[in-house]
Amino acid sequence: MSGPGGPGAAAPAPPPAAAAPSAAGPRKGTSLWADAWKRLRKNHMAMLGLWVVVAMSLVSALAPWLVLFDPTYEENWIGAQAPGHRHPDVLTKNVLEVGQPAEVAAGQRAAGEVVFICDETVETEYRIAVRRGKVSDVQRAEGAIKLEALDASAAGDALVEVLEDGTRGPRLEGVRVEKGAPLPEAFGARGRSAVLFVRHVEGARKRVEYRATLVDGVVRALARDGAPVPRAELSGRDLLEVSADGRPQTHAHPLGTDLKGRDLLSRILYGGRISMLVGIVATVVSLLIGVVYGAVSGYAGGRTDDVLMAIVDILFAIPYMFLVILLLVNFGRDIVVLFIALGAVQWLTMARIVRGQILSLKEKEFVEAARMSGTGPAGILFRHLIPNTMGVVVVYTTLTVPAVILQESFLAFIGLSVEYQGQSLESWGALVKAGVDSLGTDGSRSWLLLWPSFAMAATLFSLNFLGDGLRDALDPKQRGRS
Amino acid sequence: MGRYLLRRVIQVPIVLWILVTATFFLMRYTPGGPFDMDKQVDPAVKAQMEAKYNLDKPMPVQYGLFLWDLVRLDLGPSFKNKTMTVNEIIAAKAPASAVLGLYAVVIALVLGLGAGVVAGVRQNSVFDYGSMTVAMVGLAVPTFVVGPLLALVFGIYLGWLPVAGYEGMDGLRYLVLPAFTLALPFAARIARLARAGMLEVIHQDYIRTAWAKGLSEQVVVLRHALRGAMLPVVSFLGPAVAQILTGSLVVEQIFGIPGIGREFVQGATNRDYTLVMGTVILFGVLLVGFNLLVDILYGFLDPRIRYA
Amino acid sequence: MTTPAPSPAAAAGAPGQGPALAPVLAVDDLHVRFRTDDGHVHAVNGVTFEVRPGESLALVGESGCGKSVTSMTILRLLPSPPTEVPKGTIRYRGDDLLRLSNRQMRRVRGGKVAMIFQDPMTSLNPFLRVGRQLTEAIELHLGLRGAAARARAVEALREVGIPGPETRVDAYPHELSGGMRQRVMIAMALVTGPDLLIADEPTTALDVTIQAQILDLMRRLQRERGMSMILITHDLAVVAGMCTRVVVMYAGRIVEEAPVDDLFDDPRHPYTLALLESVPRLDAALGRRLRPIEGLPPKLTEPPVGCSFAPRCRFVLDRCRTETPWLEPDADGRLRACFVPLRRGRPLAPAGGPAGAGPAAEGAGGST
Ligand SMILES: Nc1ncnc2c1ncn2[C@@H]1O[C@H](COP(=O)(O)OP(=O)(O)OP(=O)(O)O)[C@@H](O)[C@H]1O
Ligand code: SF4
Ligand SMILES: [Mg+2]
Repeated sequence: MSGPGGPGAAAPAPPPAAAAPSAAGPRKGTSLWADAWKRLRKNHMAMLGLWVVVAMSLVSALAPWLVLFDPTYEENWIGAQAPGHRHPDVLTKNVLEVGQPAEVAAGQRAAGEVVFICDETVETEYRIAVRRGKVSDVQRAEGAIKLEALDASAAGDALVEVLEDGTRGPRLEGVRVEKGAPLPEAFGARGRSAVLFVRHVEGARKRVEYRATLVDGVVRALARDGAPVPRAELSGRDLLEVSADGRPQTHAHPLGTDLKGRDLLSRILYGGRISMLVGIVATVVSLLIGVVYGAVSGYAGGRTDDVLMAIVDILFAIPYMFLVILLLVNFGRDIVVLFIALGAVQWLTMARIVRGQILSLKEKEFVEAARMSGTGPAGILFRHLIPNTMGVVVVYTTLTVPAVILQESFLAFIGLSVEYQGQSLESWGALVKAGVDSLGTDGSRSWLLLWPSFAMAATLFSLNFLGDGLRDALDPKQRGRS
Repeated sequence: MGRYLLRRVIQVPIVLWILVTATFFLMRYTPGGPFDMDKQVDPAVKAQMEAKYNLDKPMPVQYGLFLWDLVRLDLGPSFKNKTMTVNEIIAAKAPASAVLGLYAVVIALVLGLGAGVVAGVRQNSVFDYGSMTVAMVGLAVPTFVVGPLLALVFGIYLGWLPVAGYEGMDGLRYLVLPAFTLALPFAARIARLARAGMLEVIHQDYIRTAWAKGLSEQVVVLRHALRGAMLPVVSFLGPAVAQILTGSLVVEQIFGIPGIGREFVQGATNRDYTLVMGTVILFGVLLVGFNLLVDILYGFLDPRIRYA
Repeated sequence: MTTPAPSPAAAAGAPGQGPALAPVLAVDDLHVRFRTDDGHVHAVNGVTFEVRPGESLALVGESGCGKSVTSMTILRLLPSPPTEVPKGTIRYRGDDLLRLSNRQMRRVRGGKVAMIFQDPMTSLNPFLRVGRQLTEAIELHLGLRGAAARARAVEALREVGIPGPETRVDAYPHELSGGMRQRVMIAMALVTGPDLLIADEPTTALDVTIQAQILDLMRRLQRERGMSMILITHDLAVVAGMCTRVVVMYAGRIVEEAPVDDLFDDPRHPYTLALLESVPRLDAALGRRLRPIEGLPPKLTEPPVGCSFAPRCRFVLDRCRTETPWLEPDADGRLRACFVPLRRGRPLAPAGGPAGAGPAAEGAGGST
């Protein structure tokens, strides 16, 4: 060996030091996803978002097992009650009959003694006929006893009309129906001839105690104030107290109830199911179309790419929401239609994003290597290229779900809430709409607006933060971009 | 610029044609015609009505007649509002929507750009975090939640502003809440885009050059950084118009503003074919027009495109 | 540029006369670090050097050794989080630039000390006409406005050899070639008449022929104006042709400082030696072997202990790993930071030192 600078063997292979990677160059070892997770964990807002999303999803998915009330179960007699309202537990089936099973509200045992204390009102049904604008006949339904007049003007008394469909009209107080006189104005405009059925509700209430003995959930004995009766119909409105084996039975509505007495918490959780379902399914639809379309376009390149992307450009310029509205209005609001309609709007962006990724990926060596080893175009596309776009796809998916939820709720808000087999499905949007509608002029029933809004906003907020965080984590260079 | 614009201009009629055709067939091939809802209409009258509105003709003829009318800018008579043509309805209702939209755009641009640029320049400051959190709320919380809440707080609890109604351009009090509601998501988007644009630009070499010249921060930001930072905002303005239009459907409903959005929703539920068609076409034209405008604006802002 | 004539040398460049003239710029014990997620990156660790009036000083070293960070710190162009300057002074004509207010600093930037960056493609604002980018500096530092400013801009473009400056002044950067853009950058930097120019790899991004043109232009303008210059480069050939003195950096420290001819003839630091051996030289004996520097520069995440070059040094001693060598004059008065005295590429046998250490290590390195 000669000294430095002297002639020697051929120049060695390693590159000159100037080209060596710098100290801060890329470090290998941890995978992309593990790295991203590490970065995501440092982003507090995104992690909070993640937990909220996970919690919301779990709670919504498990709603049927978590919630005490069927969200459609109406307790009309309690009406809209503020959050935290507590009232005596009522059987879902308000009829108790000896020998028949008693459907008991949650938390109650199938055996033992249940005591109901009611404030019963005395109600009598009457039939009123009107002819030529005058009351021609007043008759007590039971026993068909004809009367000259029906007086409900005493304090606490009221007349309630039983409508055609069996529901009850409003309480009319201070009215008196007299034969030969015109029908009191309180009944509203009627034809010149009409027949009405009304119930006279007497103000004086009577406290009554029912005792039911249950064995295996079946009513074995029933007594009214100590006297055995075969059957009793209990109105939730009158119920003061229910106790089973001496223990009081009540139930609470943590978030209150809506105008029909439906439990708001259950409604929100079930609403979340609908919203999330729509969000996820429509996103999956858009994902399938968008990824395949974008990947094909990007991979094919050239003319095909130009044409495919021109189509996307054109479709992008169409105000889709209006077409979706027309579609829902005209072809029914079935949830399947909605999935397709919303998914069809969203795939455009996904296609663009995936195409961009594929364009840059397909120049990489590993694609060439795969081609050399005889993999066909479809194989390269689906086994090599598409899996490598998963980073952006995941990010964009997290951002699409809230976008879709938002759109569905928008549709629900303008009155196009989805249906499944003709049954209306009330998503968060529909609940918010209901909240707005039932606020009252003084805003006194604000909980009906606030809670659904909060649930929805928290979820959307979290999803957006999570999406943002994921993007930053997966692509630190892009940090902060929108 | 020429080629680029040409491509955009060619797209315009295609987009409009697709939109119009899709609308036409969606409306015609639906179960339940326009006169099926009124139960009272007797068959003779119904036939007469259908003849009047060309509904008895074969579909291609209907489609042809419809396109012809459209070319003459005649949107036809309203199906439901027998005394007015669709043109008249639009003329009557458009001003309210336009005024509302205009205020919303101005509010959104002022708030969004201001907050976004400052947040970008002062990255990681309290202002940055604060305004971006607010922006996220603006994005995540739907218009129809914000609207009623604002109405509840400022209209009902505090009683500062009216919650519903419209008094024309001068009835500013009536427009504050709806315009803010409509502007919020839009402002949020703009703020985020402007901030992201700013962050991207502010780390560019040419900004370093500007600093190296001894320019003040104000000049560096306003003269050198702002233009580049605006580009993403500008390209968003096209889609933003669509957002404002759809947003107005809800906002007009919430705040009782007699605009086109309300007409559209009502028309859609009433199957007022011509009215719905008219509004969708109007929205489409607006959207396409604004997109084109935005493309031109973009070209002017970015010399690299202008001369491409 | 074939045989770069050794500059007849502005008198100020001669080492002996240094103290006679106050330096334009004096950097003293400068430390710069970056706060990152994984702790601090210590990019510059105690750098000291001077730029004398009319002199052109070269700053050389491997990629990542801290040349750009040093130069940008001089103009305070690095954003404050994450950059921290925990220690050191940068005196420009007596004022410590690190202590100036923002307003005072702005007068220095562009006006007194100008900078040219590596990539002309991205260093000009794509949204503004070339003329506007020149006139804003003219307005700010020369106080000219309107037509006068524009005329000055045209003149500046002509001076840097841009053909048709009257029309090019209205061009956008993307309408110009890379070489033209770098000329615009130079015009922009020089139009205000600064007395110190910092050029951070001004030609790295350009074709070889254009490189030569740009360097010629810079050399001409520098001489005409008697301006001082710091030239940052990887390219030792450029250093030989343009500069009077060379500062060699390694891992955020200066390892050797010498007049250009001395450095090329007889490097006194092992790293400088390795650097010279790793590039082809026109004046070297034919058939001289190129020898790349083995290994990687150290990570800068820890403040270095001992000599940073130790892992790659063929003359390494035990004490090199524990003791830090400081930049000191050797027996001949040459400045270098090393424990082993080198003469013409060989260690001088110290009194009790193992004379064979050098060649042995060298042999091991060479056999790979
Ligand atoms: N913002 C930063 N955050 C963390 N480390 C940084 C930052 N900027 C520079 N560095 C590190 O500081 C060191 C010095 O960088 P510098 O740009 O000064 O090198 P250089 O000598 O100019 O190299 P080159 O020849 O490649 O331009 C590098 O290791 C680099 O990774
Ligand atoms: S101090 Fe030691 S390790 Fe450092 S360069 Fe000199 S001989 Fe090599
Ligand atoms: Mg550098």
